[in-house]
Amino acid sequence: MSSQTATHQHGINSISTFGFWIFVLSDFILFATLFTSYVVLSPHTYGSIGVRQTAGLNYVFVQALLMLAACLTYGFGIFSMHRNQKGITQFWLLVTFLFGLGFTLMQWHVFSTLYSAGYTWHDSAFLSIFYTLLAAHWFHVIVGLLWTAIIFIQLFLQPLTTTMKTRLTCLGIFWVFLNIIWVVIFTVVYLMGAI
Amino acid sequence: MSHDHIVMGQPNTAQKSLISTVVGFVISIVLTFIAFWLVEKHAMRIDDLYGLVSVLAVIQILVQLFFFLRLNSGMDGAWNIATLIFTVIVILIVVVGSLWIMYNLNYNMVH
Repeated sequence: MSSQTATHQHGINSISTFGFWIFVLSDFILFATLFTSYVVLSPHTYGSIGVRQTAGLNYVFVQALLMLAACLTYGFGIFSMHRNQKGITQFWLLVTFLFGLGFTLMQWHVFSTLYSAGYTWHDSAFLSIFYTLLAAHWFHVIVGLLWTAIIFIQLFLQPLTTTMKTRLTCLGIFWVFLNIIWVVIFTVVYLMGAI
Repeated sequence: MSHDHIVMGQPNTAQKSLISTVVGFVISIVLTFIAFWLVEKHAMRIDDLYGLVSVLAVIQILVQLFFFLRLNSGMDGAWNIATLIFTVIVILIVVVGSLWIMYNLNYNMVH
């Protein structure tokens, strides 16, 4: 593999971003198995609560808007990165972080409200898979937040090198992945649960 | 072409990706709003609602893949699409196969 094929025209290592894309695809397969389990197990509530009692549709809609906003502001960050404007890139990373943090706190509120009301994962097959699926996505968002924070700090220490641009591009793929999983969650879990 | 002159080429591709991100964002917001609105209003028959909500989700996933990530652009475009199609096939086999087996089991237990 020559260096010309490894280095993209934007100063990004395209072999690395392609490798990360392969990882993201394998993560899609992981979530596909969780969604399959959800569809099979969700009717079995055994007298405990169903999906309608977990979170309102308006609440979930706001969460969807937060995830979309995070992807948009990250796109602004990538635009600034291509123009080698480090400070502006960091500003958009910060905005993306705050949108992601808002989503994370809203999701924590859902978990803690259910848990403190006594609806734990022990209650029913539905609640087991509900916590598993939602927490799997939630955990991925937290990893995304940590990664965003780390790159934000790293940009204080070094300029927008090829390595940093490659990392920023991979994190961009990851934020879109998180958003796509949330689209499937609000469709399969909340919208189909409310029909 | 623009690839030879990095200084000239960069703002051009950057601008394209910015525009496609904003367009993708607007389409995604509209699709999300329509899906929630339809369910909130119970706008049609239940079976149609299930189908339409699923279609809206698939469209939004494709919009995000192609407008946010711009999978089809760049040197790896074909490889990105090929691996995506392979993954979709694997997911379909896992999901449809599992649901088929589970519903058959359910049916045989009851009857």
